[in-house]
Amino acid sequence: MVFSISQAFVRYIRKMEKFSFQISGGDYQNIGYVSNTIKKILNTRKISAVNSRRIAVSIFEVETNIILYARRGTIEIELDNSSVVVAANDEGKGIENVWLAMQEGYTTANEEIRRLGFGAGLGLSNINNNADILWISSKVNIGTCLILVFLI
Amino acid sequence: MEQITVENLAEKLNLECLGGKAGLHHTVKGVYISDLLSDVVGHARESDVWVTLHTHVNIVAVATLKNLSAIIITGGRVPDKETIAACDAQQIPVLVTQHSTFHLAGQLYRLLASNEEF
Ligand SMILES: Nc1ncnc2c1ncn2[C@@H]1O[C@H](COP(=O)(O)OP(=O)(O)O)[C@@H](O)[C@H]1O
Ligand SMILES: [Mg+2]
Repeated sequence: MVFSISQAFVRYIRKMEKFSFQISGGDYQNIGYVSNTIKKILNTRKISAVNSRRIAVSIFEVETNIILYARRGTIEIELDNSSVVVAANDEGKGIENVWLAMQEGYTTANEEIRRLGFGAGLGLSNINNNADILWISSKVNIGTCLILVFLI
Repeated sequence: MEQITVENLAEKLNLECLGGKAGLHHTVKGVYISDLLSDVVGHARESDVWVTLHTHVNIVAVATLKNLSAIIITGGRVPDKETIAACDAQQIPVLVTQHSTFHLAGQLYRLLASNEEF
């Protein structure tokens, strides 16, 4: 259910350039791959440094959460001259209380994750501070879907 | 005021560069000190030098994402092999010091605080 909504949304955004990435849960070594790849692509487009920065920061947090907390997921990024849309879907444990998860400092990260410097509970608030629109939908033990819209 | 490069910093503070030497010419515009990756991603500014105790490869992804000028690892910690390789690939210098974060922060402050741009 969670997934079909976002897929419908993504289909709705037509005529946009599209990039798609598969993410594996637990793949710590690759944290930052999607965001840095997209940042490089954006830097070749007519897009301001401020915009490319806030998009890259948000995607970094999205991919980090999938790798840390989900089994697997996809991130789809669509862009045209006026907007960038990021749709992330994962299969995993989901978020029980999205409002709580959004609070700065709230985390369920274990010791191993925190030892790496993740799990400060700042990821979703970083996204919220940087995206123009953030939409989250999650079902426990099914997965999580995020849609971010940036007006550029 | 004269621009300070990563190389100038390394010389003045006796930091050893273990990787990413191709980026030693980067200009240093400020310093950010934090061991929480999301905090650095959220708040570090372009061309900042990042002081941390982390040694794993994810720090290079953060530094690349934020266009940081260099990473300094404190307390005699040594970056992982993958970290050095990634720094070489991204041309981001990774420097090490035996000093604690507190001591290094003091040194950096003395060196840079008089710089108006900083
Ligand atoms: N994709 C996801 N799947 C399951 N849980 C998630 C996901 N994203 C976030 N969470 C939950 O929300 C919490 C807060 O996330 P975030 O703000 O990114 O902080 P952090 O990642 O540092 O814990 C996480 O600790 C986790 O419990
Ligand atoms: Mg997070």
